[in-house]
Amino acid sequence: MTPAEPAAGMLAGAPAVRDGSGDAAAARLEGISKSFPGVKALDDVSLDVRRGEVHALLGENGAGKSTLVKILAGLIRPDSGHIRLDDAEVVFHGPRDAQRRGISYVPQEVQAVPDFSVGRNMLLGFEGPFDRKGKLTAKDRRLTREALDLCGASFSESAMAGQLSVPELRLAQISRTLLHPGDVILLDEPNAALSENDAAAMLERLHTLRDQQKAIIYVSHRLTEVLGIADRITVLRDGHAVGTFPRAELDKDKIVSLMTKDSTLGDRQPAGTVEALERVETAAQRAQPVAATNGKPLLEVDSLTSAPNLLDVTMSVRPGEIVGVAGVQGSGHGHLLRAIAGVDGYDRGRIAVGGQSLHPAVVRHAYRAGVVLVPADRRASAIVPGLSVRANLTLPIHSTARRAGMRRIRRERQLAREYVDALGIRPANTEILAGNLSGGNQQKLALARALVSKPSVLLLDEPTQGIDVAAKAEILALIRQLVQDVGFGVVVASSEFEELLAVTDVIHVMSQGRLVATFPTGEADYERILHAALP
Amino acid sequence: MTDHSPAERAPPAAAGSYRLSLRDWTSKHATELQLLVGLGLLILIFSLIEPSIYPTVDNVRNIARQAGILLVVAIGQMFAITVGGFDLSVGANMGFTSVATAQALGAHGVAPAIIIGLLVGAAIGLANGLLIAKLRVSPFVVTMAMLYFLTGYSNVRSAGSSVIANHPSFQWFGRTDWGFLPSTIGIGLIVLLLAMVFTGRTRIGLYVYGIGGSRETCRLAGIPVARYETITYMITGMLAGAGGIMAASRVSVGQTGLGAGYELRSIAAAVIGGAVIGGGKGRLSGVFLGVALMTSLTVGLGVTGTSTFQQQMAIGVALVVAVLISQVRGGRIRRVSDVVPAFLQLLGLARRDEGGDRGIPAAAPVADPTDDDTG
Repeated sequence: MTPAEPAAGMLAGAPAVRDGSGDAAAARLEGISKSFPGVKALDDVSLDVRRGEVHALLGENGAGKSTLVKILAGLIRPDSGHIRLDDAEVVFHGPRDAQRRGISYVPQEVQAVPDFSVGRNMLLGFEGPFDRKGKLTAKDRRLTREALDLCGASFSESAMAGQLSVPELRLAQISRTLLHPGDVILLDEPNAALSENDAAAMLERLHTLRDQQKAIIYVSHRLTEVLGIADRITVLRDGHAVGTFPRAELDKDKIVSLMTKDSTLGDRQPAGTVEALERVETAAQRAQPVAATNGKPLLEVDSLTSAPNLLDVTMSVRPGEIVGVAGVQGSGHGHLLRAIAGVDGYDRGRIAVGGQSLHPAVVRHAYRAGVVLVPADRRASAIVPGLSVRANLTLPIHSTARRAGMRRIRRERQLAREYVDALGIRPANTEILAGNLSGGNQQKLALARALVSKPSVLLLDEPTQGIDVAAKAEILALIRQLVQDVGFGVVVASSEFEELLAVTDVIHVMSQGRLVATFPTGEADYERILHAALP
Repeated sequence: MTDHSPAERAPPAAAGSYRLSLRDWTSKHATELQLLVGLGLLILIFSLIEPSIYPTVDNVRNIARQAGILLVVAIGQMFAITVGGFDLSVGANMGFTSVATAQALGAHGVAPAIIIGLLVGAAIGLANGLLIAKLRVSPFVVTMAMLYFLTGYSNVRSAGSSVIANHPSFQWFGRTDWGFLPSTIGIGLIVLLLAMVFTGRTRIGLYVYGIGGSRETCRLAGIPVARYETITYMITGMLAGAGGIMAASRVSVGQTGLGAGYELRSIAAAVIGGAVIGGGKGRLSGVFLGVALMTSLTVGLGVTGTSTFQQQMAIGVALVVAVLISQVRGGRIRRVSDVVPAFLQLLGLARRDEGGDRGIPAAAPVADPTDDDTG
């Protein structure tokens, strides 16, 4: 592999030369381990990929798929283990090293420089010293065109990237891999941002790449898709490789059980949650159930559509009820909450609180109607890190701690004290900066801020994302108890199903923008939810 | 709904602390303490060099006289910086307002002239604010355009020359002394007091910090973000207008060039005082000390016979030193090689790393900036 001439590699007759090496691995990862602070992301994982093969990587959120792919792309350095390309051991010091060795990586997010042409974007990083931004040389045009044609792209290589749609940009990114000198292509959830049709079209392209004798590692959540295209499948769970199987040995049920169950240990929950669940259950038992669940619906969502994220979603929440919305990344469960909270607009449908319709995309109106969102991205959108705990609690537009635009400091202090005590925010100091609290305590603060507004419907988007197990349990217990005490309605959207199983009364499962299943929590289990959630 | 008050079932929590300990207080006011030390050193050095001129009552009053106008303008600038932008048009605003006030003074008398001046300043800020907050044009472009426009318009209105602003009671706003106190610093202190109430006790004040600290959080909390951002620029404009009135009173003329240089000096004072370009941080006590430090420095250098050019160099050095010290304290600089990236971040030219990925604290431990007067 010659790193110097990027475009010369693959397009012309190279596959013929390499026919003989069909069963030797183009890339091999051996005994890879990687830890991040507090988590072991990968533990002794091995994987190999051959030319002319699609090797799919499956696993739940946090199983370690992306980390593994990023290690091979040179973005993350493993703590231990080896990387071999065509049996030669290599060490990558950065993504450029990996690229030079013939590995092309298509990240999960669609990225492009909007003001550059498609061709210029595809050649990014391969420019000669005199290449101009605005103009492609005849050779560059020919090469990019060939690659785009091979992938069936109909748009021009000189179109501005900023004017292309997301699927078109994705196609350009995939075509780009053909320009690389090497044979290994890493695709990290390439269709997460695509609609069903676009995703199907993209899969067709993978066949083309495979026929070009490329070695493809393909990360995805979509089981049906993976079963349609993969030659071999490796399942990861909690940073371990459960096993690598030829496609023929697996079906959807088998994969789901591989992803969730440890065949040697029997049924189990993902690490750390067992204790969390026990604690929540104790809390739930302590509190007496309220008999309010038969009341009139508090929140009604009727045929809510905002393509492609929400398609015809209908659901309702009664007072004292906790409704779970389960979904894997990209299923639209977060979009649902944001639409209800008035953060995002929608195309069609109706959202009503106590029979009164809400205006689309007006947060204040939702607030006034008592619908309050606790957003998922805590640091960026749920708290102001540079303000004190007390000031954060005073932030909402309708606050009892103000009179005629003037802050009532004494009332603020009293309020802050009440909520810090009630929610157990630690350290119990109302004057320290919110940004200096731990993740779990920041989440409690975000929750407290929502409660200050006295909501009738509380919307929690991924309420325990990225916080430690103990805090997780505490927050789940807190939610449960607040509902018992106050009797408002709660919607929890989460991709961590075990937490939904712990706190909710009913669980809706979303997949690709639709509500695909509904279980009373008593009848649901982890596997059934996952089965429904995976497209 | 029923009463949500969580207090009713609040478990008897371990006694929490609702006030800052002495250590926290020190850490919260570290910028101010540093500036005090710096100010003390400056005074000491200049007093040793010029013992007969520098440490005298007259000289202190002279410093105060010069500092008053800058204080008023810098407080306004701090609000613009805290909400997440800045205002390059404050100097041009001062010039324009001084001309408008001087002309109104001739035509209508003192009280209407002052009111007109403040309204003109506020209107300029409103225009800035609407363009920045509603139309989402960058503050740099908007306020620089405003700088050019106002400079030209002011010269058009004054035919390129000075407009006499000579009225005995108008002199109370910058030229004469209020008893012992020079009038500029008197006004400056009143504005400081009002600003403290504003930041610490009003909803708008809270939102200035909230929006600067996390625009998205405020938007999701139902706050009409654009409205409050606009109001903030309006206040900045009105305070610049007040600075223009004071400057006109001080020299008894209204003139386009009266505010020249104040845009950068006010930004420098705010940044020395701990405000961060990018928003969310900014403290009035810091701005006050920043103004004091800068003015003491220039006056001191003037007294020792240093040229204006050298004074400018000194301010440049002071700015960098102040900022580097705060970076070292914030833990963002630990090695010499961290200096440049940290400085770029500070100017908003480079992305800040979120959180403590590498064990670097994102902020000084304790410093809620809205609590200037409530500690």
